Amino acid sequence: MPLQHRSQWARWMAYVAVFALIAAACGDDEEPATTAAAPATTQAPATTEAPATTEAPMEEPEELRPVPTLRIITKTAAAGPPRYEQARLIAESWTAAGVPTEIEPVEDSELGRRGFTVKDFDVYIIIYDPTTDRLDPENFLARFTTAKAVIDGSNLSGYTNPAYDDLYQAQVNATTFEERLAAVREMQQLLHDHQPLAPFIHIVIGGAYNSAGWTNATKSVGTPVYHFWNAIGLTPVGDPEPLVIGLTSGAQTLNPVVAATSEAAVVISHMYDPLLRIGPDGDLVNWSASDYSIDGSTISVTLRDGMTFHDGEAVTGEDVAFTFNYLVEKESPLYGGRLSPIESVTAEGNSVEIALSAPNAAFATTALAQVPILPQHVWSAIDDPSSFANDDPIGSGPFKFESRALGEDLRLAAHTDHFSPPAAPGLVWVEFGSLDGVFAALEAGEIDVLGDFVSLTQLAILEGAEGIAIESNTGHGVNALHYNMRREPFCDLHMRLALSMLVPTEDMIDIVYEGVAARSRGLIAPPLWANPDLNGVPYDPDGARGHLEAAGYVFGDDGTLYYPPSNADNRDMSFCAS
Amino acid sequence: MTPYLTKRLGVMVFTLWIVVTVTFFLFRAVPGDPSLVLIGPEIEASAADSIRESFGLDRSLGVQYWSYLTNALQGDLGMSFRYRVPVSTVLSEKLANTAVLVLPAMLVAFGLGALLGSLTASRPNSRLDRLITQLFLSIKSAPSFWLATMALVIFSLSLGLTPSGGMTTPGAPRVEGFERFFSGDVLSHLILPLVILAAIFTVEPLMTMRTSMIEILNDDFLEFGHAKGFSRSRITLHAARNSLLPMVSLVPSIAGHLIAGSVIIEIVFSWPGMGREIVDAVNRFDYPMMQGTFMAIAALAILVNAVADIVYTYLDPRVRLT
Repeated sequence: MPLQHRSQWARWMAYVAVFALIAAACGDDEEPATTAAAPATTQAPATTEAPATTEAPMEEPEELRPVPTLRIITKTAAAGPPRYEQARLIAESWTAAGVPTEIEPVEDSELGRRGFTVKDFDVYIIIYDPTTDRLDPENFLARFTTAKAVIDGSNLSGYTNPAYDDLYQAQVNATTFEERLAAVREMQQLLHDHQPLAPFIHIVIGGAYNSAGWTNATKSVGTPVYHFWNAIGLTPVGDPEPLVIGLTSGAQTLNPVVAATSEAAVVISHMYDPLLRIGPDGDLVNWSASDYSIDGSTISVTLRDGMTFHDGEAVTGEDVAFTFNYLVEKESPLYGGRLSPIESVTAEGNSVEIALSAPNAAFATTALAQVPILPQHVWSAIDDPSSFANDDPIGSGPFKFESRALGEDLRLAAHTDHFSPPAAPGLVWVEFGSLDGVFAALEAGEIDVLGDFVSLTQLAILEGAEGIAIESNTGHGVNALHYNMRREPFCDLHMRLALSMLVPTEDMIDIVYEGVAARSRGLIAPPLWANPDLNGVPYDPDGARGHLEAAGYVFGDDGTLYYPPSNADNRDMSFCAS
Repeated sequence: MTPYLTKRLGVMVFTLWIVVTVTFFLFRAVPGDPSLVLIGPEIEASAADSIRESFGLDRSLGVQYWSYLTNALQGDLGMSFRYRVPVSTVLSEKLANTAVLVLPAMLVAFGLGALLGSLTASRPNSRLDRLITQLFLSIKSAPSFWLATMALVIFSLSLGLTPSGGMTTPGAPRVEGFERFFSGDVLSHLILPLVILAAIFTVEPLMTMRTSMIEILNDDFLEFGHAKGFSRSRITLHAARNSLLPMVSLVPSIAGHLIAGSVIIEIVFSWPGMGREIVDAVNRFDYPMMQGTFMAIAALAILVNAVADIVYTYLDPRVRLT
């Protein structure tokens, strides 16, 4: 979910230009520009600043290799203004400190491809949104393991540290919370010490709803207003009417097996029940399960009595077992991976026994609280779910499908037989062309809840509006830089530390977020899983220069930065993927 | 006549094939990875692979092209990556929404254009003539996104006369089927985009009508009518009938422009039609949807052209098909 206001116009214009350019551009790809800065330097750099070489004073001065101009890849100014601005400020700061840096804005999909598919970047500025599954640290921590450091893996930085991998495995297989917490905190310490990633800001997430028409709101971790608990809890003040949510990202597929986005997962979670849910305070609460227990690698679940699907059929343990096997077998993008620790599932009446291949502390949060229970009597007949639209979804959730008009709205009605029926008679998602349209509709009372991820800064426009309540949370997402440790400059620990010390966090908070954002002290935001001993990397230009000089880098008179000469090379090149 | 029609049909099919082929390869030449756009930069390699596989993107371009072509011939345009429903289902819904906007706009543009054209032609270079032609030329010359946004700001946000966008009031009870297009709610949402779209496209019929009318008013047969003592209105009527011919040849080009022009209007007014769908599909690398929309528009333009050609032969006996 993009966290910023998109300028539709600029995008459209950009596409016109793109189409005009395709004919010319579809020939041969250009060489990555990273190396382009190199050949300009044939003359020897000023030798005055080079470290004195006492051992071989008579030797010819070694020809120093310049550090190529660093490039930060980011979204375009049109597609992601906050991200672009932050990249710009960082590049300015690095250049000013003697590390020549440029920004390279690229289209969203190209950004994803270069980062996640082919790892063709120097520095990647990323905004990890505070999605529900990032409440558990697993999602972040897995991104620095050796297993994910492959060319199309999620370890963007290419950090490979066996000690980190061991800790990762230890926290996966931990049997107590304390054991897991200790490992998670130690991993954060390693990430802090080695800086494969520079986390700098946790955004403050805003939410808004029509408080004149609705009562009984709950504040939740993650998105403060738009969440499941408000969907069932918000109560109309006047006549019963459906809760209307306005958003710019339209409802996508209704098929849980092929769904691949967190937006789709949100919609699905209203029509389908998982066994557990993440409660408003971030703790796990029993949902379809009336009870569950974890004993090593065995999980026993008892289903709630009397649950029914929207078509009247009873929900049984068989359905749960079928669902888990089916989603793995059909390689569901959203849920298949979460269920992969399962070895076998057996069901008898209302009880389900799940055997994992090894103990897994995060399994309840990442799988049991996310995976929707599908009705076996519907899905067992569907061999190829990718060609099944599921345009009349049957789940057991508190809302049942009513109707959908693509690009307009999706309507759900209350499932009154549910054990936790919604207070309103229904729920409607309405799709808007722009975020301004959503704000205007909220002010006009046409919609009740803002459904987009926005920073609190963006909600300033609604401040003082009558009958509208604004809530906020410091998000558990993070704005950060991934250094590509596969490339020479970033394999060096001193370079990474120096660059992190040159990230102007306070300026970015003031300029980009108008003062409303939290400085990161580490990858994981407080309170639960964060390592309280960490205090981030402070902004320190002198310290940065010290690091670079200690490692042997040479600052040329003409502003060029040179790699250390071979006889004074004190760089620390550990933990880099090839 | 029949050989001509056969030939015409053959050319139509050939043109359509060219459009399908060019768009197929053009869209795939755009840098980026559809599976990443769909999931966002948060996925695992294995998930991306299985998505690419389920979209058929793991196969070679030639195989993809061949299967697209053979399926399209059987009326199967594939599943939208984004919605995961058949493209034809989305298309029919969006086409209906766009038709509700574009067809009336076209009728208004031509009706108003013909009317104002004959009015201005009967008094060329009068103050009224200059006022009307200048007005519609200015509307046409202004950037349409600016015009639409200004209309939205003035009539909707400031004066509150019209809804701010969309096709229906959010959360209002849904009217199903064909009747929905005649519900008061939809009509109130339609009025502003319709007026803007019609105003933009009135100038071509207007100027065409005006020019051919001025020409015809000086023709011998009308001179003769004057001599016979026909009333002014009767002469205008005769002239208008004869001036309508060039208007017919204008229809196909205006139809094409209208569909293209409605893209911008639909975005500004959040109208859930083809135009918005095209932009969304392009943004999200929804290949089947992109191809479907372009193919539908191309097919429409080709069809309208062919129909206009054929109709012309009936209206103007001098044109004969052989």
